[in-house]
Amino acid sequence: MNLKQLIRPNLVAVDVEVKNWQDAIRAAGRLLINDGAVEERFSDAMIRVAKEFGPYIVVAPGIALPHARPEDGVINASISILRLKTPVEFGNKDNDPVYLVVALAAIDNRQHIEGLSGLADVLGDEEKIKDIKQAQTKEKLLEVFLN
Amino acid sequence: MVKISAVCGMGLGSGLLVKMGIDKVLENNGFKSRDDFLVEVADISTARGMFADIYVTTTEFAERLGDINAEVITVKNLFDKKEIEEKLLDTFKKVFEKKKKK
Repeated sequence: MNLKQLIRPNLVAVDVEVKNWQDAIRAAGRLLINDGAVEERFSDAMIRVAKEFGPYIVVAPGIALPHARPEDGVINASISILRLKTPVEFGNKDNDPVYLVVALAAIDNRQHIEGLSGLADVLGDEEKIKDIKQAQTKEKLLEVFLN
Repeated sequence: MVKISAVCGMGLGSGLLVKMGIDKVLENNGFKSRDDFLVEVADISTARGMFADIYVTTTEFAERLGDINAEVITVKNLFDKKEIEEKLLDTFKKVFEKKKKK
């Protein structure tokens, strides 16, 4: 599945205020839940994974990629994108604080490779990172990922 | 062939990102996947059993891998192919040459 199929317009939000990293993951999970992409329990699962394995989910400077297993309640393969109003600490000494939360809901290991690859192209591009930080609306933010 | 293991928590997210980065970097440098090298994704519980020549992971998991008879490379920004290239390429070439001689 490509990014356009995975990141639908109502899975993107900007300027969200959160208290801490758990809140940030929950807010990204909420976008997926409201879309019907995952069951309610998915957010707790993402937090559990982050606690279990440590803050490695902060995979790049300022960017967290929380995820859980397909069997943790994934209904449709999806990616939600949440830009925080105020960055929060995830406890990752290399890449804190986090301003962008990209939550992955995968159906299986294989299916979202194309989507992840597209994501890597966007998040590995310095120009696009600038655009992501500066996008005024969620529509503009979505455009950065899809164009 | 040099066996490389991209290690993350569950093998679902960051490990795949690392694998894609390594594939691109090595291919851009003229090495062929499945011929010269093979990158496999591993989760932290299976990583040690992969018997890879090189493990690529984040700082967190490098600590968890513990003592291991292989090269371990840690990457901070998994999306940054330049960083992967800088940290991996020399080690890869060294291991590649060593294995070719055998």
